[in-house]
Amino acid sequence: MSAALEIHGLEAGYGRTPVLLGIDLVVKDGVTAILGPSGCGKTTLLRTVAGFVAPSAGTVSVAGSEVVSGRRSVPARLRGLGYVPQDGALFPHLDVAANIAFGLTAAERGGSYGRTDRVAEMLELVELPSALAQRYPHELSGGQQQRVALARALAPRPTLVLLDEPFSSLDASLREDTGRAVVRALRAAGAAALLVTHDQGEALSLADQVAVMMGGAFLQVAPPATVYLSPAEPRVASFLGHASLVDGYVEGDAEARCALGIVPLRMTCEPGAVRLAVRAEQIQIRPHSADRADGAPAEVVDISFYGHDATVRVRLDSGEQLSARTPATSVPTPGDRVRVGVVGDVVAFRDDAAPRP
Amino acid sequence: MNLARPLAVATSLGLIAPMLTACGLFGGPKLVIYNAQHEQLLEEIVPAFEDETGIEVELRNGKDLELSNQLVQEGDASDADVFLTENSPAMSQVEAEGLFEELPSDILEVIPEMFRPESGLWTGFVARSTVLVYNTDKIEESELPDSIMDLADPEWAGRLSFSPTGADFQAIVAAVLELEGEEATRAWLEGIKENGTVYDGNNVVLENVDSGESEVGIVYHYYWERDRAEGGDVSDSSAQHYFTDQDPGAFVSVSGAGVLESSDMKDEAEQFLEFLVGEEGQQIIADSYALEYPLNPAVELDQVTQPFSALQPPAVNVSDLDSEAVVDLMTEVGFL
Amino acid sequence: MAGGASPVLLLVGLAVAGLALVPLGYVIATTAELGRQEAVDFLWRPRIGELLWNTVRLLVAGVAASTVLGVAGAWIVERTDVPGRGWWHGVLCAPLAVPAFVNGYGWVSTTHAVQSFPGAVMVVTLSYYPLVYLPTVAALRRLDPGVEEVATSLGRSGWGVFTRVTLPAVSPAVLGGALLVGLHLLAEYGALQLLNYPTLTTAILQQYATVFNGPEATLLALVLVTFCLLLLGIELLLRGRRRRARVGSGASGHPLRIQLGRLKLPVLAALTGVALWALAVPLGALVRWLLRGTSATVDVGELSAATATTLGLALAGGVTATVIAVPVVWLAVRHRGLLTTAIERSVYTASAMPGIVIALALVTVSIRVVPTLYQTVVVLLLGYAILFLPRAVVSVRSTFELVPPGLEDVARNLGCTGPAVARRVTLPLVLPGLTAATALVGLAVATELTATLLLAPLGTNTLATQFWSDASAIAYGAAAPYGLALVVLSIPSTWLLGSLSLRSGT
Repeated sequence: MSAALEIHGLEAGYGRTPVLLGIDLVVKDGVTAILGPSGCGKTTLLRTVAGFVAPSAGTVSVAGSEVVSGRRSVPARLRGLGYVPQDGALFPHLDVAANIAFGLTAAERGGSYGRTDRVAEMLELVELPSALAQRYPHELSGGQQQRVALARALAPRPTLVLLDEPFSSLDASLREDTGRAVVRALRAAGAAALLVTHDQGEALSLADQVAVMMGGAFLQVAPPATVYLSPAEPRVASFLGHASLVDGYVEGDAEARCALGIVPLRMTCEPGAVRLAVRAEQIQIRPHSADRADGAPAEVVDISFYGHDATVRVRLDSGEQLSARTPATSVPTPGDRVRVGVVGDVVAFRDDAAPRP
Repeated sequence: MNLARPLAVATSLGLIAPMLTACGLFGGPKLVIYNAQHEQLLEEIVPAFEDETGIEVELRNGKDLELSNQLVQEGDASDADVFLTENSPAMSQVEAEGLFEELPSDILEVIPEMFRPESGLWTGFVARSTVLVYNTDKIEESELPDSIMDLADPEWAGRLSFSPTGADFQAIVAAVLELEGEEATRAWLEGIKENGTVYDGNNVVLENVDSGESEVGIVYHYYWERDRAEGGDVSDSSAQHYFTDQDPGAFVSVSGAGVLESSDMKDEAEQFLEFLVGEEGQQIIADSYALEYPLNPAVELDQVTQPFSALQPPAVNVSDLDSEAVVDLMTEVGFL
Repeated sequence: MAGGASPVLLLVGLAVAGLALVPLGYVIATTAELGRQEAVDFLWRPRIGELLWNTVRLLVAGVAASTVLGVAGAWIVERTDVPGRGWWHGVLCAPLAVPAFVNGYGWVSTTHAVQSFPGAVMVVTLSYYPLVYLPTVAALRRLDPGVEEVATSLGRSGWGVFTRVTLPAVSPAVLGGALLVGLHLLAEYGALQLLNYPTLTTAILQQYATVFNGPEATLLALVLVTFCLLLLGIELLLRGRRRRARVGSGASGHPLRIQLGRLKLPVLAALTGVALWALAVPLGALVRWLLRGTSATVDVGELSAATATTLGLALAGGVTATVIAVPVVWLAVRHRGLLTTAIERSVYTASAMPGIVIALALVTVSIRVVPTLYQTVVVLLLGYAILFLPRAVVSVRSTFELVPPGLEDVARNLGCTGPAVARRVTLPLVLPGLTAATALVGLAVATELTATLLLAPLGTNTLATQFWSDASAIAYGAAAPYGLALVVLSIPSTWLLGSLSLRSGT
């Protein structure tokens, strides 16, 4: 079976500003998240696949048939893709059933909106009660609107659904439930999906594959655990999960020396200067003591208390600033003298320019 | 900002002041004339009167029946001192309400008896003759009817235009009604309604005859004469046909002037009327662009096609022209 | 009932509402006074049938043509890749700056062919289609582009997207614009009189000139008002209770634009045609008559006097309408309740009252109730206030909604007294909006003809009435300078409305 989506060397831009600088991506099935900060080009990528932006080079194939080849491209309406934009963009003048049936042929609709099996089936798929069929969009909650938008996109049985920041306007609590439900529906419908988001939690928790995008290019395309645990480069590491980058020096084996002492490396590395990505949850704040083995001496700068835990910013005596995540039970106060240590192994990136400690 | 505010205040004062002045909030008492005659004509007479008497005049311009009805509504509370019309039916209406002061005989005697009511409550001061203007490219004078009544005949279907909504035409209807009776007038109105194109305004009728959209049109003589005098923009392809032999179509309509009983400046008002019908005032009218016939026999209008003495109007007493009956009849026929 | 508003303020609000209801009250009361038989006899005759037929067919054809032209123009500017979109937007708004009666003059003095039903429809359409165009442009800008993209991705062609999604979604704006066109057509006097196309409104003025404010004029006014209310009712019915506003905030972004391709030239030709017909003909006629008219010896003194009177009335009218709008809005925004909402609603009824009816009502009421005010500027300004109060209330309201009560609470908390809060916080915030409202109403006053003809004290000449007395007497050359002055006066508000319609996109 051919991949749901294959992109090779895709380039696009607005006027003379290039936005996509040669994108390669293969989506076999499941959900692929395009994760990146705003302005990185992820929405343009999605819109190029949808057919709303004309590319300048590259190819795009959907389910084996080429929809873009250089400047030649199939019109958006003939690509047979599902599309869920921000806020869902439900047709405000149509009720839920008519929204869902919008993309169906007259035969599939069976003449009367809302009474077709397909509409009922779709409502069930996105876990909405069938009573909602006669409601109008403004009578729905934000989460319900997004589910209807997905049902509308899935109704014509596309092989690929494009989701553009679909949960960004929802409350945090609603966001997770809606996201889960959307992924379940996509799985049940057997459709692959491209999910554009700037929310790493969303990307990591919902996707089978994450493509980290910056400056119009992918930095890494891999399963969520891989991009998180084995970032391909420092930018990926610092974007995902608040890693502090610390200068270090690899001295043989799988260890590096840095301001925090000797830390074990996740993967072996050639000796030399490196940058170490230390995640906030790996940094431990310990009471001040004379024992150097407890970690590097530091002073607490400030604290953000979240309830379940807290972020503590410390300044090492050697000058570096770090962020640590600490359980709520052992939060220091600003100005406290502490020692800071590392738990677990860290990822090292070759950095020949870095000075030796 | 600091400069803008005083500037705005100054500007608005500068704008409001002339408006208030125009509304007469400043200055002493003035002689108020409710004027339905052509504004331009009064603008020639009034300055001469003001120069001679030192009495200041304020004109309020409107249309015949608009102003007469307004006077009736205002009654004793009216500001008006003098009322001038284009046609006499509006004068009769105000007279019937008893709102006019009787005029002294030295004013009345200047004007021939047939151009003023027996009551002596008002007087005519100028007159205009009914004419049939015709497009000289489309029709010969010999083909024109002998009587205005003939225009109701089917042969004139689609060839005629007139302006039934104005007081001018309504005065002509009043004459027809007086001369021919109600039945004949109704039939005539129905006939010309069937035959003619209706426009609003005699100028418009003249323009449409001149451009050939209608062959003939019923208007007063001065519309055509004035346009000829000004260069013939809308009269160079047309000419006037005067009805003769006391035909209703030869009707001469009288513009009236009267002093209101409610006036608190009756002396000044009478002075104005005296000036209006006197030789000096009448000569100003004769020399003006108005081209209406002065009614003081001492003054002759000679810049027009037909001298006043050559007209053959039917004998209609101005007091007998009944505007109310005309409006009812025209409403019934469907002009209004 | 009114959320703790001071009784004085409530009384003022009630007085304004009473004023706004005068025209409706007058029509109902005078009709009730008339004998039944008398009314039936007058209304049940061929002449009235003729007027009704003329009015209705002009209404239907004019509204339909304006809607098609306005929506097509908005769609071309907002949804296609036609070159020079900003320029065309300006051109399509510009006819608003040419008052309908000036447009009618331009056409009639160019060709008599427009003195016919098709001619009348064409001229009023060219004058009033911007009333549909502007709100449609604004609605297209507000519409979430995602809606059209989804429809495209679900397989609809450009035309399909337009008819199935875009048009239904912007239909409230289109409908609102069409309603405005309808109300304007019912109230139009000058243009139709010049085009020799009799309707109910021109007949009312003829009745007025013949028998002053007799019962016949009132009966015709009753029929006219019935039409206006009917139109409002139809609009409410069509709009239904459905909300079509966008759901959620939507993605900001550029809407999909249709590639015109080979259609580019025909579309450009059509736009140019509209520009020529709606602008070049009337403006060309004004300039032509100014240059060659025999009656066109421009009397600078009279022109400047009329300009001064017009500007003075515009300023006074603008200030009056804005000032009496303030208490109504204040009550409605800050003391929401049954009574205050009723006050605000009653103000809006005036928007269905043609100028001629308001004028007739004020003539009658002032003569009967306060004869000392009759024929004074006060009555004229009250007429303008009623006529343009709905407009003033809308502008003032949007201004007051910019001042959250929280700001005033903060100021009071910082020790300000009530008047000090008004002076130091509220007033500086609302002053620009109030100025804009005054300007908008003032410019509308400056080009108002129908009510001015009836209510202006005899001898008060505005640009519009001077233009009218010349144009209706075929003194085209003499009318030209006044017509040009009216166009110049209308440019600022047209520009303002044009740019507001664009801003509502962001």
